[in-house]
Amino acid sequence: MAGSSAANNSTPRGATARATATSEAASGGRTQGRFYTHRLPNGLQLLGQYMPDVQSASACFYVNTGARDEDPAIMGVSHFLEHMMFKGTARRSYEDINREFEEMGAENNAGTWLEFTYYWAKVLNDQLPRLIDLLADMMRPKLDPADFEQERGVILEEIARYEDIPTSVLFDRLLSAYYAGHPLSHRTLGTAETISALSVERMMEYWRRRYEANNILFSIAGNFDWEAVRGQVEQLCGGWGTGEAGRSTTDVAPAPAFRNFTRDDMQQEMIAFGLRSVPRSDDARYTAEVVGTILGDSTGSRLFWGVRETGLAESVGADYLAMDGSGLIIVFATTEPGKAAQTIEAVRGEVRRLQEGGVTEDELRRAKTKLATRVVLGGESTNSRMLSLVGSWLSIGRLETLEEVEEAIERVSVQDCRDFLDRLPLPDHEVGVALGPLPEGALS
Amino acid sequence: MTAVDASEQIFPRHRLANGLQIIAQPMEGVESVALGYLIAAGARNEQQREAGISHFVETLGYQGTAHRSVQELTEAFEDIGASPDSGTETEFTSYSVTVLGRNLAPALELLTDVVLYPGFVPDEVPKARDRILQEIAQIEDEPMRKVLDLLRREYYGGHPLGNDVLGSVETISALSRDDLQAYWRRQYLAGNVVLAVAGKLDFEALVRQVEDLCAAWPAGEAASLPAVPEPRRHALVVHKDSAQQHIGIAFPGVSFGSDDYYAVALLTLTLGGSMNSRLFNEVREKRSLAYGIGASFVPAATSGFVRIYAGTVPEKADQTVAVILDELAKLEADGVTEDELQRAKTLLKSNVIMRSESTAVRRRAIATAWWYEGRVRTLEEIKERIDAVTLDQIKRLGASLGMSTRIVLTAIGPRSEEELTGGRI
Repeated sequence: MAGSSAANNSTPRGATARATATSEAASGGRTQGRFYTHRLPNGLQLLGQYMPDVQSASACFYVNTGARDEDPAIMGVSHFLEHMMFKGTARRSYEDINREFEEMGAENNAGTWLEFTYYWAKVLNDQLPRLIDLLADMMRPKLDPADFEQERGVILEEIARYEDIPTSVLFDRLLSAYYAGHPLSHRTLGTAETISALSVERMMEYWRRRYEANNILFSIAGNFDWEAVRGQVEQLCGGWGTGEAGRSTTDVAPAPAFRNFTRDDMQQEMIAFGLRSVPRSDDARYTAEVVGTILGDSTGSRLFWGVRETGLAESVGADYLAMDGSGLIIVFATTEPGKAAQTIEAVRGEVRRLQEGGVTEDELRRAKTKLATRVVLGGESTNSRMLSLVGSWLSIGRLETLEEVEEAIERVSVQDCRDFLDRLPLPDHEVGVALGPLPEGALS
Repeated sequence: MTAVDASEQIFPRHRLANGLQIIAQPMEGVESVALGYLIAAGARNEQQREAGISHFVETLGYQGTAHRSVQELTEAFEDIGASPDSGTETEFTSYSVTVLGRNLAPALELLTDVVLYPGFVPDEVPKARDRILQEIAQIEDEPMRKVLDLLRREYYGGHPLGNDVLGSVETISALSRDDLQAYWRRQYLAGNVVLAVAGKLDFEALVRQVEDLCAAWPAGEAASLPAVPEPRRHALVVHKDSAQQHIGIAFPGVSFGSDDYYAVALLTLTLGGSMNSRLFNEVREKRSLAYGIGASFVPAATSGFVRIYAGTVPEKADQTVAVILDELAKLEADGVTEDELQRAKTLLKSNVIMRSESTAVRRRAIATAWWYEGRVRTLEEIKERIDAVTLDQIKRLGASLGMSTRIVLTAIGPRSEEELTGGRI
């Protein structure tokens, strides 16, 4: 339960939380991929994509809430709550919940991040009615005080676990530095202090406010009967209340900075940069994907040639992280301490060169081919489609077919990349951190 | 006979004169195709002084061939939208890629160039060496990975199956370009190769292309392994000031192809393979001792083991170990219940079917099945085998595997061996 790392491929990147626009019209005529949308009167948004060639279906409840929506005093409540959702409801004990998932042969989990919490499962389609009943029931948790105390221990374990995973510590440090003072600097897991101080009453209050129907989406992809699914969700969730969850979505524009943090017990030095980019709903979001790929894809990118193939870093890469009202290109590299300063210089050099010279026709074509291929490959997985539906709904208020996404990527031009770089020059808001054995200040 | 015929239709196969084997699964309703070579060049094939050489050769794989520079090779893959992958494991090295169906032929040509005509580009060798030395250092920073490497090594007690894939700083520093080439000539022989392809494909065309590309591949096979020794009951605890104590426990399982394969898989699921397993309930749900707790089955060609991992703050580590050992004792004495067995069967069957929907997963599944057993079973056959497992079979296994007598524990963290095991191992 509860991956909190943004590097995790299974997390839906950059779901935004605009109170969902509206309804049936958005699905208008897009029957090619058999897309469905429906909005209940209480605001719960249903999304679906029918995939005839599979025997399974993936479904989730996706809540627009995460660490960025928390009062700092109760930081970590979204994630702790996600654990508590498996602990029982008015109709089911935790044993019932875990047993039922197993009896259905489900693959299931949940995840919490800065701006979302979701509960998903994949089952063979004859189990769907039972699965939807279980997931919908879980969304109304019992929040028993004794269970709460018990689970606090597991959360504290999870916090300790992530301390032993350097990439996760590095990522936290980067976001704290880049988003200093902004809710996106919050840690998804919270801290030992906030978790130890949290009360079940505060959690209950948070749940009431954030788990209103109009702050939740239900998404399903695979082999299912839409009328049956819609009817069942309507019947189970139609009585959920409507509220004013909302969210502050101001962006930040930090001044360039760099800081390294010492961890004596580490052998390698890990480095990360945040470069300002566009939010998920921006028209240039596909350009941002393309530029991120050209800069730091795992093979053939500027950083691959300039930093990895020159023998400086063992690994290097960049990813576009699209969020609600904010966006980042995150660059990461791992190297031996003796090469850290040179690696940082090389990364900065590649960023500057891309900023000044823009992209070439050749590398643009290759980046687009890679991205378009990934879109098609991702389109074959029910889990990935289930999350993509949510992503596109929250970004642009409608569902996109795979063909539309491919075309949008294909349309990105050298000039679009130039305009994008001019609009948000990469080095202007470059915030970097490092974690490893080097003494504090050694890389500043 | 009918089962074999059905299998051949679903999984067409072909063997080249030089011994190279092709196994395929054409799939309906997909646009992609996944292809990959498995080659008998894994850590188990290495002599002591060449530890890590399989991975060294693999690291050089995409760094240029006899026909293409690293730049040309990388761009050729990018031109067909491909992000190729490779990995070295204990028993083989794999090179694989997933592409759109229309790009199967160029993808196969590129992948074959990589495995059959490696460049061993002189400039790339020191860079690859450096990267591997960094990877070795990196593992030290990740105790939850390191503890499982240690567990494998300790479990196999000096047998090649316990070899570390990465090798050591000493061996990697000493290996020369000549060593790499000699190793490649020794292990990359056609009889050691399985090419598996799953997804959108035309099998006849595939075979023609492979015949064309691989006919010149030298024949030959790898040497067989010495027998696996009995695991010795012992513990190895390494001190580190980490936030958690990372604990690995192993006891014997069975090999791929064993009649008890699915019985061990089901036993492992009940022990620690789901959020409703015994270990999850006893360690996490009831006692809040750990966040990460679970068991998995790690089969190999001639042996196999069951592996448990737990990560817990040091103050709770001793109790965590005690609870796990208690659960193993119960499982050893009483087996599992009818109810548990039924649930585990449902879960395993469902997972097998749902995972069959991805071309990359299918590619991997048929490759390993063919590799280890020389046959691929249909989903129906697999379901039958799972259903055929009985309570008695699991009880007998529980009593005979050696969960208390042939158990190995490794740990990394602040606690001492005495504190952790209380003398129970």
